[in-house]
Amino acid sequence: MNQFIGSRALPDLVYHRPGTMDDLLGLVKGIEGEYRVVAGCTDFIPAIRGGKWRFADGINVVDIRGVKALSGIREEKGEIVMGAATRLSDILVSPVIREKAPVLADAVSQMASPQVRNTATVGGNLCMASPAADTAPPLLVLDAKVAWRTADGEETTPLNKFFLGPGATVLPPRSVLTEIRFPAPGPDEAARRTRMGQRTAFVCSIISVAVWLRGGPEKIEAARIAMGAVAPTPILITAAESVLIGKKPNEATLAEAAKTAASNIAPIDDLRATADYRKSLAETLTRRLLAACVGDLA
Amino acid sequence: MESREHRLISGRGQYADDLDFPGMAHLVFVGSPHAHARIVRLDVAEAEAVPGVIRVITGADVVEHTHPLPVQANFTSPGWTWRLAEVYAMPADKVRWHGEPVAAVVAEDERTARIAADKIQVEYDPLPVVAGAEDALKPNAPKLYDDWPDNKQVHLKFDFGDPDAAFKEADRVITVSNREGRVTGLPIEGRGCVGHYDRGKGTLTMWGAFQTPYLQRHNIAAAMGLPEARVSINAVDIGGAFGLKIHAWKENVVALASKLTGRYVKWFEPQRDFIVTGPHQRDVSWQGEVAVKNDGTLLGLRATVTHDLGVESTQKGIAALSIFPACSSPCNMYRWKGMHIEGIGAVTNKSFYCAYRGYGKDKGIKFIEAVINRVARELNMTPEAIRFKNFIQPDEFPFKAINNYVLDNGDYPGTLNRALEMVDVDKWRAEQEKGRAGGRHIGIGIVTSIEPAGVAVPNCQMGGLTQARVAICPDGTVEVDSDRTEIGQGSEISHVNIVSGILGCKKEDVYVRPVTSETIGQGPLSSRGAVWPASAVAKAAKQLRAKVDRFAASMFDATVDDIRIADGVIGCGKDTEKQLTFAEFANKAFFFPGPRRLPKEVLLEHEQLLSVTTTWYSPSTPESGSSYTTFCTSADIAVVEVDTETGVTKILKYAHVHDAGTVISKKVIDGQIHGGIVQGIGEALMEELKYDRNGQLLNTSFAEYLIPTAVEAPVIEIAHLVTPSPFSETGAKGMGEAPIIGSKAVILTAVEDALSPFGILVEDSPASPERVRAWVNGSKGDEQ
Repeated sequence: MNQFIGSRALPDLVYHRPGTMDDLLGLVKGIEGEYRVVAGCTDFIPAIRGGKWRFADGINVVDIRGVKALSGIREEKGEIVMGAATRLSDILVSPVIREKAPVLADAVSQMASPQVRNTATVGGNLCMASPAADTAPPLLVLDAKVAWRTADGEETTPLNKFFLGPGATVLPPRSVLTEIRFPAPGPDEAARRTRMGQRTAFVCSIISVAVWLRGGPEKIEAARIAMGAVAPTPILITAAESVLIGKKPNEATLAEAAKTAASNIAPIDDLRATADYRKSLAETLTRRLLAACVGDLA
Repeated sequence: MESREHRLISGRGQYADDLDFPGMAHLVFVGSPHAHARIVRLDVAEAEAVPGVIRVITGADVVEHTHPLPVQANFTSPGWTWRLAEVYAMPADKVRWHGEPVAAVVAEDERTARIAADKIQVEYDPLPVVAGAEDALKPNAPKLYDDWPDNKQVHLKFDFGDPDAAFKEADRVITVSNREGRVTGLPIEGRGCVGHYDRGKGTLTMWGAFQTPYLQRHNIAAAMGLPEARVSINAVDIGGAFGLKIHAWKENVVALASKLTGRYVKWFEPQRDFIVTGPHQRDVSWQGEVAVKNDGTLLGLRATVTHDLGVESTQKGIAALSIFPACSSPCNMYRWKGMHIEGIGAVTNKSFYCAYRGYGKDKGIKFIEAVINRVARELNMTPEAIRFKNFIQPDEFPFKAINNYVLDNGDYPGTLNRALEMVDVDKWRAEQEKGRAGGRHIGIGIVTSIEPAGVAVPNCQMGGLTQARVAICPDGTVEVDSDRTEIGQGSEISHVNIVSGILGCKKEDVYVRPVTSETIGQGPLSSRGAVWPASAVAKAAKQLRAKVDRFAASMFDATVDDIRIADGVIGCGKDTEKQLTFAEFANKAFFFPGPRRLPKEVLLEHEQLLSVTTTWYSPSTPESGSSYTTFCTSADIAVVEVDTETGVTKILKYAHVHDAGTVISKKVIDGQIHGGIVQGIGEALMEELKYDRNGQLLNTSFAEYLIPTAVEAPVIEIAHLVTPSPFSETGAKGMGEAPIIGSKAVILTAVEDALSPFGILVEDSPASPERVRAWVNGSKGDEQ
């Protein structure tokens, strides 16, 4: 067992801050020894201080914030595109996000604190692959895709296929996540999210839920439900979609869908909550969010 | 003169971590990963080989070079248990809690010390863990201290009034129980200090986050084996204390490190160290029964409160001492016939207990307020009606309560009435009724409390020590010394208001000096700042004022009755020609012409200096034996809404009425109220230190040990009543702990009220969302 030390020393870091995408990709391709791609460092530093991560002296730290192309939010060809190094605080104030995807701004507004949001990035939140990553459920229901580049090319995958487990993603070695994109929702779509923590502000989620519906008061045409902190990764729960699609969104249908969603997760007991409580919240919060979305569609 | 507030807001505070001295080394502690284990081998070679490491200090070094931590409170009485363990600042042979320091690395800089700390090798032989009070008190439980017969550190038994008669007279007896989780207070700054042992002079000087410099000097000198007169302890700017910085513990290791290296040595702990190896509190359970009449008259209480004290406190006896107020405070502000209360403290493999805002008063009052509200519900009375029936009345003061407290004064019914004016409880009750039909659960909580303030008890270091000095300098500015360390509670501005009010000088000309061990006193604790130190300062200022009047009269060739002082100008009757600023006056008194022109009598009485040093003692304590001097009054009303599907409690309205006697500074009182209420809300709804069965503390950082943020803080409506205490020099009453006492009680009783359709008794805290949801799930099916 490790000794208890309240805060551990940072190793000697070799800091790199490339200014262009080509420089970045070239650097990552050729770098020797251990390296980490970083942006806001809001996970990196505490992980070392808290003893969760240990690195030998000389670890290379590649800061991607010098590459302008990796930051910013734009709308192009019916899609909303966010650079991986876009700060959470930029998402919060982005007119595009606030108008087209308020569900994402809502999620970000409850993440961490203003100080942390001013440096933490959306790409960092996804790449850390925490089961409780709060940007993931809304991005999952918005059908987001993520793109990464290596010196040799670019690849895109649905966010739903991105996470492999806690802290693990499909990102190949020597690649850099570049952007997150999702279709701009239309007028017949509604999305909502919420989360529960042991308190309201600045806390790790014990569950987060996002739902998305397309349709109208008479019929639901499409639905997605995503959750965080109920599985090893943030997940889309497809089992409940068939309960909703083609149905009139009445109270009974929504309740059944919520129940189905909750019965299709297998959360664990941990310091923050028991599995039973998470399942109970999954049902309650899903039902409430569905009802709110139906209200938005009316 | 610049105010403290301006200095701090403009970023020029000098906290422990800002201290810097030439050649200063840094110290980092290495703690045990085990909760209970024998130290088999401790190898420091690899750590000492790290370039920049000066030396490593182990528990064996501490045992060799220092003495066991001194006793700070010691009570023995026939039929009682009171045990103290012999412990050093660091153990050489055995660790007793997760995180207990076993070694300290001293290096040229903090980072090097941290790198080396990771290279210390310790081999442990784990021992069975005592994971809680219940386990600790079982027969054949593993023992924490080999020379004790068992793990019971304390067992106190009190008979207040006539408990048997109370129960004989009762129409009904109701069984009650209550438990609260383990918490810690979290000052924004951890502990830290710099120590310097001067090998040439044989003196030890320390600067840092010292809440009680005078007592800390005594305790550090004792542990270090140094003559107390050669030790000096100096408080710097302190980022909150709440009782948690009265230590002389790790500080001894810092002092030893300086002695062994000859260097200035700095230690400043990260918050994780504070949470894991810091002082803890609460973690008690109550079992008892209350005797009442059917008309709501409170008669008696029989109860036992069991404390999980963790390991022997670094303030030996101070943890156990907090069991006294826990046992006495259930009397609160009501007339009782009798109580039998037993207080038990068990040692366990958890971090130690120390003082934290409330110090047991909170436990007893939270318990009895929950009990009274339950009695009211059972008798179909409102919480306000049962209180109005049992309050001690304004014409009964001073009131000698059955627990031997002499209650100074107050208007208990008036305090509650004022709160009821602020919150229309009938309207909320109608809303509650209406909401329940639609599955909305509103709860209304009402709690009233007094706060025993200004402790003075025998056989401990808190017997009533205080000292103040008020002096006019030759330039006319005024300096104040007292033992009331500024820990963020506003002692400086309070002293400025008192002194300028009495002397008539300008507020900006008063400088309250940082507290050092040169001033005798037990420091700000037990809400004594406005009682003891403020009284001593006021008394010194009054005596100094008399001197100023006398000197000025001689300068103006007038009588003292002619002297008028206001806003920094000393005048004589209506004669506008005869006026002196404080600077002009002081210049005359000190130098030009100086003492030689003062009246002959002044010189023969040796009264020529414009400086008064004095002390103060509670007027009610010597005869009555009352451990406390003033008793401020408060009423808290909270309206909450509980989402029974998620378990989340939302505070819809919060009103607090306070009577702390004379108001020295409204801003200071309001600040105490806001901070205390929010801390209490934390205890009620979210804070709990969670140890597992192996004694591992699971929530060791701000990410997991949750305290309320501004988002969770409700709008707090405050009203003040002013009933000056006859027992303090200014009429002010201590009030620092009252807000935390009332708020945690009122939130929990409001939650219980909200959940009453489910038949749920809120007997455990915090009422976290998951716990509330579990109560709802476990209740008798649907709403009753």
